[in-house]
Amino acid sequence: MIEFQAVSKWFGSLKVIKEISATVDKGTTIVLCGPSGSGKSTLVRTVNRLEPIQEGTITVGGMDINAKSVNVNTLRTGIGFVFQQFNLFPHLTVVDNVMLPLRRIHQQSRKEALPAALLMLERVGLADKANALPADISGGQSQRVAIARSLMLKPEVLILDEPTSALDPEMVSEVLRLLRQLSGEGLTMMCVTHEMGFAREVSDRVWFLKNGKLTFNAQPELFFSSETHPDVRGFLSAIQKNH
Amino acid sequence: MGYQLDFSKILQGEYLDLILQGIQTTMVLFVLSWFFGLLLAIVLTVVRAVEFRPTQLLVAAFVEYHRNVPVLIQLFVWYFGFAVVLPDAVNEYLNDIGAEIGYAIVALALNKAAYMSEDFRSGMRSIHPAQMEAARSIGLTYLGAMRWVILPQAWRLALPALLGQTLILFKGTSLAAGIGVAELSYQARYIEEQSFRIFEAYGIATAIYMLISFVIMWLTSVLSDRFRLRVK
Repeated sequence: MIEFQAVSKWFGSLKVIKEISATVDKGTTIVLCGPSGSGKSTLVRTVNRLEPIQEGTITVGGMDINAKSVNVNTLRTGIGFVFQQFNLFPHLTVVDNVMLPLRRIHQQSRKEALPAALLMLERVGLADKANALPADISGGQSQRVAIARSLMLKPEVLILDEPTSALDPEMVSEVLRLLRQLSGEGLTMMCVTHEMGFAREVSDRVWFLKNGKLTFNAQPELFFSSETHPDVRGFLSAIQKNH
Repeated sequence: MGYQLDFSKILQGEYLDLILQGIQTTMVLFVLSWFFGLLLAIVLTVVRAVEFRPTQLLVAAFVEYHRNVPVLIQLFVWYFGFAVVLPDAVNEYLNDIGAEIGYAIVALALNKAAYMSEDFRSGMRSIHPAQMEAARSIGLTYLGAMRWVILPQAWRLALPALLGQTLILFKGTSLAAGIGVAELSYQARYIEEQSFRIFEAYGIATAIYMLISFVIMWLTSVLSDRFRLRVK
């Protein structure tokens, strides 16, 4: 579904992604982890062209996303993106946030878009918050709204950039529960996270990045076993110490 | 002191008519300058937002001139200065239809546009860049993101400042008396000169200015509250 071929990226003279090649199969969930500054966020942001790359190719569904013929806006409607800080639009109610893609990209009227938006809110367990403003709901609820909004155009791929990192601990589980559910529904997902329990339980593969390199790419059974890469072992024990 | 306050002399007949005409002229000046000023402010904001150095500098120069030169001078420049470069026939025609108020509206609108465009700009600058990124990641075009995500927030953020400018503009209309526009303060002065009722003439003008200012201030607080943007 998504293929990285020798992808490299520089910020100025600093090379932040180094010749990464890897594949994300359709319907699978990939968890990306690694120390901060390792390039995981930058890598997932290249998939919907929020970050340009300087070398290599990225294909989504067989299409080279950086080809001149590709319309970036059309590309993005097929790739849901969820940010660490939710980025809900504060001037719109919850349901208006969720409806926005249908109304402003598919040009539907409010009346046409409303049923689908309410259904989606029900799916993420927030039908009762439809008319609340983003300022009046919790962080966990905000992130579920953001996920709902990213799913409105029925993308085949969902990318999540540290979706639980800005949440209070008691709200992490409600977001992870939703992601678990989505993963079970066959969506192709790439998720940057430090939630190793989630990685172990839900992911099909775990990618470990360090200094811009994809150092280790394995199924969770191997990733969390004693046979794992030495860098991963160090990273995991450092994380455990903090928890 | 032998001065006896007597408002009745002024609140009737010719003087009352002059006051009412003055209020009308003040409101015409105020509403038209506000409307054209706001319109131009939006244009200036958009032009300055586009990354093209020459037009950005032009807008910046426009803003700096209007913010750093007294409004009265700006009025003089239009009324006395602009007339010089126009052919006599055009001047005669303009004077026939009341050139003063036209020049006053142009000068006040340009002045207000400079201030209001700065208010819009600071409203836009206080929106987190991630909002644009989130809008684009949904698949909106740049203009779509501006139209549906950035500008609706920008005007709400700029609203209190814009309403403050509105109040300043309302009071500033009195400067148009300097080029002979017969607005409220001009009429008050005329009545005072004719009737020698100094306190009454200016007292009534003061009361009217205050009353309308209070209405604008009340509207300011209602609208600012209603459209306040709450960001977590």
